[in-house]
This record gives sequence, structure tokens and C-alpha cells, in this order.
Amino acid sequence: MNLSKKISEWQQAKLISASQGEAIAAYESRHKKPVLMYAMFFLSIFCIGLGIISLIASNWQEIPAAAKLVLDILLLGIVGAGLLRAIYNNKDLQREILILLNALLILGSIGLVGQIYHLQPDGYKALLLWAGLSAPLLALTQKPILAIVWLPVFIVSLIDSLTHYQWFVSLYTSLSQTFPFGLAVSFLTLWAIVYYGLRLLISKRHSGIIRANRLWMSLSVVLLIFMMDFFAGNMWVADLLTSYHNYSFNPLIIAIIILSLSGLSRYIYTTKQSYLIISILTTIFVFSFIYYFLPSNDTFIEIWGFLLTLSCLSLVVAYGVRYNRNRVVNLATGLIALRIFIVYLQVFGSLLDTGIGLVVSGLVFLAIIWLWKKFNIKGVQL
Amino acid sequence: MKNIKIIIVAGVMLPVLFFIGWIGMLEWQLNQAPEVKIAARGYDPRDLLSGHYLNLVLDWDATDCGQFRKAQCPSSRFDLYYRFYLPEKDAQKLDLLIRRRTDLMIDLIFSYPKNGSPQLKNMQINQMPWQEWLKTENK
Repeated sequence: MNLSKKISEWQQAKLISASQGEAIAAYESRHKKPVLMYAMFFLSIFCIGLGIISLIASNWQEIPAAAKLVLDILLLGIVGAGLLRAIYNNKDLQREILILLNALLILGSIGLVGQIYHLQPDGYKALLLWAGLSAPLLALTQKPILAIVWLPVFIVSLIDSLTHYQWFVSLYTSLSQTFPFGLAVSFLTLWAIVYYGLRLLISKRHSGIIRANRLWMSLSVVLLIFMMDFFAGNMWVADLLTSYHNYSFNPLIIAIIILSLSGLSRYIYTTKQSYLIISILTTIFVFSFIYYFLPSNDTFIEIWGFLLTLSCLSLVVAYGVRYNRNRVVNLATGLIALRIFIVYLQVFGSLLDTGIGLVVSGLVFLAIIWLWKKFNIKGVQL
Repeated sequence: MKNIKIIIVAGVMLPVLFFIGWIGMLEWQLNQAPEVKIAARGYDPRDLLSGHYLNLVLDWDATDCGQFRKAQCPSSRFDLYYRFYLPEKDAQKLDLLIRRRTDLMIDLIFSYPKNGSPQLKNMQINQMPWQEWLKTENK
């Protein structure tokens, strides 16, 4: 609902007077962010940055290599100096634009040096170098754009570089053979530790890197649940995410995961912060064990996947109810309904079975709503 | 407060200092080591970036091993194939010529340090730097 509609509703309900309504509208209009202007600015800087990269990378024949390199370093220096000036003069928009331009220039410069000196590609090392050189910029920006791009580039290029080391390959193999989906669960647990560590270190909860971590971590968790639910029986995904060969159930690794998850829960409890990601991770961890003991039958695997998704979505509903986030509750409830519909298509063949199953499910949901209403559980609005 | 300012300046200027150092190191590596010439031929894996460089595979059978210690070609110190970066229009033309003509002698020039990876410096076609050869072809 937009603001003018809300103001008129409040006036009709005699919560505010007409003059108060006008004052609110005037205040909101004064403090409205010029979103379109910001978007156009960022788009223009993105185009200019990409254009400069293309010009540099096109490796003009006419300009000597030394001149290109000097020009490039000068450009980096000028943009850097401009950025420092914007920081010290508190010019927020200029600062954000120059941070993005600087990050794009660093990437272009790596490409230029690579071309001039005929450096041979070595996995994603060039991207890791970019992530390293542009990392200080993350501490200076308050917008999440750079961090949203930076984070996956850093993680993928770091993992790619680490695969050159035997200790990492051994660790990777141990984790993937510890228990089903052990590698993904371990990786996400480590990520959660890093995320909450960053939240402790960085005082601004809404800084770019925190928001980017939250976004990518949440997407990764959703993707893992989706893969575990719908593709656990698929050999290609099974090979990618798990190893079907003799699980070692390495007690040390399992103990570390349990300690990490319980430690994080303790931290979250003491700071009264969101428990959603950790509770979902714990659920995934428990379900991944159950997966090993399931008979190799498609129906069992499908029901297991369904229960996993349903448990995780129920946690989302509980989170939404606890923190009065009605949209989250509505979305998660809708997804639960959709998943229930899908499980009937997956498990039962005939329309009669599906129809009966759906009617029974609907009645169960009505009963739950009635119970919610009867016991007046906080946050539920009918 | 002063320390934070110094950290900010260092963080923003880190790329400038890094690139100066990196370029200096690459120049030093290129110039301090002797040159070796290794024969190469066209190689065509499908590649998204192809068109900005030539893909070349080293041809040890056609290389003069006398230029190395004990007259032995140290193939294990080199990669199997190399990318030679060049302007887009020249890359496309050379790519076609290398694949069509079998009479071309292609050599890659490397700086060859005692230890460390050999570094690609230039390319010769029929004993001429590639730019000169391309000019004679265009006449």
C-alpha cells in the first residue's frame, strides 16, 4: 500500500488529523531518495568502466606497451586520489561511484598486464588477484553492489586456487566422504561462522559485505535444500554433492560441525539475533544423516526430500511469526502448499489418490489455523 | 584517527603500488634471463575468448635443442600450449593463415631463467617478428 493511501486510512480512522497527514506526506517527500538518479548514475559508471576495460583490453597496435601501462597506472592513481577526496569531504555518491570505477579499473589493469606480458591463464588466479586488490574497497563502500559481485568471485577463485594444494584436496575428499552432503554442510557451517564473525567485527549491521554474505549464504542454503529435495536420487547431482562410496562418518569432522553449530546457536541466543540460518543448517545436517540410512528406493528418497523442505519452510514460518514478519510467513506458507501439491504428484500416480491427498492436507491445514486462532498464537492474522 | 587515515590511503593506493611492483618484476624477469626460441604450430580448442589471441602448441620435434644445456630440450619446464595475445584484427587474420598454410615456420621466443617459469616474450613467423611478417604479407 502506498503512503497516500495509508495516510487517508489513518485520517479516516481518526488516528491523525488532516494537517498531520499533510506534514507526514511533506516529510516523506523531502526524505525520499532519488532512486532513479542513483540507478542512472550507477548504470553510467558501469558502462564507462566496461568501456575503459574494452578500450584497454583491445590492445591498440598504435600505442606502445609502456605508454599503455603508464596511462593505466596514472588512471588508477587519479581515480584513487578522487576517491580519497570524496571520502574526506563526505561525498557519498561520488565515493560509491569512484569505488565501482576503481574496482573495474583494477580488473582492466590485470587484463592489460596479462596481454602485454603474454601471461598464461592459470585457473581463476587473475580473479583472485582482483578480489585481493579490491578487498580494501569493501571497507569503504556502504552499498552492497561491489560486495555482491566480489563475494562469489572471491570464493570460487579461492577454492580453485586451493585445489592446487594436496592438503586441500585431502580435506575436500574427507568432507565429501564423511556423510551424505557432508561437503556442502561443512562449507555452509564454515560460511555461517565467517558471517557471524564479520557481524561481530563490523559494527554496521547493514554494511555491504554483511548484506552480500547474507544474500549469497541464504541463496546457497536454498539451492542446497532444492538439490537435496529434488535431485538426491539423480546420479549426476549425487556425484557432485555426495559420494556414494563407503561413508567414513569421521567422528572428528562430525564433532567439529556439531560444536560449530551449537556454538553459533549459543552466540545467536546470547545476542538475540536471527536464528534462522543456523536452525536450517542444523536441520539439513540431521537430514543428511537420515539420507544414508534410507533404502535405495525413489519413493523413500522423494518423501525424505519433501520432509526436509517442509521442516526448513516451517522454521521460516516460525521465524516470521516470532519477528512479526507477515510477508515471510505468507511466502513460506505458500511454498509449503506448493511443495505439498508437488509431493502428491511425485508419490501418487492417479488423480483420485492426488485429489484425496490434497483434500486431507487442506483439512489438516484448516485444523492448524483453527488451533492457532483458538490458542491466540502471536503474529497470526486471519 | 590519524592511523585510520593512513590505512584508508594505503588501501586505496594499494593497487597502484602493486601494479608498479608487478610490472617492474616482470620487466626484470624478461630482461635478466637469456632468450630461447621454440617452434610452435596452430592449435584450435574451442574457446570463448578466442579471437584476441593465438593458441599455439609447442613443437619440440622442430626445435633446435642445441640452444639448451647438454643439448637437451627441457620440455617439462614449459606448458603444453601457449596463448599469444595480439590485436583482435591481427589475431583473426593470423589464426586463418596459420591454419590454412602449412609452409609457415612459427617460433615462440621465451626468456629462460635458470630457475622459475619461462616467460613468453614474442612470436616469429618465418624468422621475422610477426608484425614485420604480417606487413610483408599485406603488401
